[in-house]
Amino acid sequence: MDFKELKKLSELARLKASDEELSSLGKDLGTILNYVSLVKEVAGVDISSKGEMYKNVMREDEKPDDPLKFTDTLLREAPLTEKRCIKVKKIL
Amino acid sequence: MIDISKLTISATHNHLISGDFSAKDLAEACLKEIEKHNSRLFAYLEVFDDVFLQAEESQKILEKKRTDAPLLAGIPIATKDNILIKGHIASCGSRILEHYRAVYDAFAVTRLREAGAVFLGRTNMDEFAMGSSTENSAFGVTKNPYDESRVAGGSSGGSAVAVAMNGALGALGSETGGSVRQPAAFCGLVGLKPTYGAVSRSGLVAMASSFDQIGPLAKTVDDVRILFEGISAHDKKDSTSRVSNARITPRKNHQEALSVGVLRLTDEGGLDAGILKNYRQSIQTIKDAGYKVTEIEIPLMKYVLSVYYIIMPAEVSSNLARFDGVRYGFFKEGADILGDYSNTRGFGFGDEARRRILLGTYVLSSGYYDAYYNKARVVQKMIKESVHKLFGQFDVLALPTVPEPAFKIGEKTNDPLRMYLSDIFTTLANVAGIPALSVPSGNVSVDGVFLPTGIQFVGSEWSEDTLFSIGETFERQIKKTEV
Repeated sequence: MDFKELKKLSELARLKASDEELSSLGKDLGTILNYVSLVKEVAGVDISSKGEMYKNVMREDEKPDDPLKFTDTLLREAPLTEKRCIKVKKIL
Repeated sequence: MIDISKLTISATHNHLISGDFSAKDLAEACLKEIEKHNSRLFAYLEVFDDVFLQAEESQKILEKKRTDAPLLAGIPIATKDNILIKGHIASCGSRILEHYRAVYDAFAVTRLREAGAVFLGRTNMDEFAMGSSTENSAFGVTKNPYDESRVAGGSSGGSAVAVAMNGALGALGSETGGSVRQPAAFCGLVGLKPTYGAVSRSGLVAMASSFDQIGPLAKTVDDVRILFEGISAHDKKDSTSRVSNARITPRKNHQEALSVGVLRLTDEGGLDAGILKNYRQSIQTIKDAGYKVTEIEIPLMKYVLSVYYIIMPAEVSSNLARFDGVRYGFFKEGADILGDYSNTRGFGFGDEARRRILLGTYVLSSGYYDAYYNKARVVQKMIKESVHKLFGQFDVLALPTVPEPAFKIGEKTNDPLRMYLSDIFTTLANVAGIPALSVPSGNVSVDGVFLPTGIQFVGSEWSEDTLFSIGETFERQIKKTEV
């Protein structure tokens, strides 16, 4: 796989990787893609049929839990918190 | 002195009911075995410190309900490290979740807990269940008890060895592409991949959601059946969990009525010679047991692994996006918020997780989406339909579980595709959403060491009972020939 393309993929996947690692990953991914490309051989396939469709199972958003019921338990797992909130760097 | 190696779940149940030993004695016997073997074999990542407390609770159930006590009351169980047990760490064999403590019980755990099972500890696994050897764990390699220079299989290798070393009477693993059946075959155990939707995925850390299923491993078919019946139920918290009225299985116990389609395999197929020989003997065993056997081709079989290794990484890349160091897990700071994400993920994920995230991102990216992901989905549908047709002719399909016996540690770590080919026979059931049961089929001799292997019985949706029936017959027949 092309190094530039791989670099872009790693950025899209938010995955820091060294150039050296990307070169070695490129070889692996090339071999794997080459193998899985077998599916392209299967004839008589209508791509627009999209395989078996999944359907979403929805429910009403009702009877919420008490606002603070799980807050502390969940926050205990968060790496950075401040005043009962999860702390992140500015987004914009 | 309790000899765990001689005990099945139902025999243990009778001992517990009769008061031959207590749930605590039994747990203690398992803990002793773990102490003896775990430092060498590395099946458990952690043994829980509340085992005796749990055993005492189970003892209360046993004493109160006596003969009405659930079969699993007091039974010591090992659970894979990706199944949540409230208050305990669930690391998924990954640095990124090394210190993560579950905030709720998985549905399967709730079911077993209500039945009075005792959770001994969490077992080693390939990181996020990605692998076929448990070598991708961030914490060390689980070794095969039959030859410690060889792998235990994976990704549920720790669960398999926990049972094989008598450090539990049964275990829960998880299947995405063979992760219960393959280590079961490598370690001489029975392993089940249930019908998709039979066991709730609630509390199972997601790898590829359209394939993931929790599945049991144990020494006998009956033990696996008991565990499966313990965890299989509808759960409204998993939208792919199937409602209970879909679970009506026509139980086929009369072997005369069962026809078995066995996959035709030849010497030229690249299959290990010992495995092929064992497979042929197994087919003879099935015939000797009185089943009607026909050699068959499985249409599109050659494409199954490719379909799997496109759809699975696509779902992996999406599911693993949640590990960003914000809400839980490992965090490594960067210059800005994007830097936080890519550092956290870049340092938190191991090699195989990175490989699959990138592969998945690739097959889902515009320009490749149709050629890979969409094409694979359509071929998956074709495979499902053709397998469904086969079940019009045959009650059960039989094929080897693995293409070779347990391989050497390190043999495939630098060749991911060779590692993926380990799943060549198992992924059919996952891609088609149908159940498959791997049953020990004897040994293959490699370098003077006898390594276990297995045969798998594959059925249509909800045919678990039929699989247990043929599995038990096969198990009995094999024991006869061994004597």
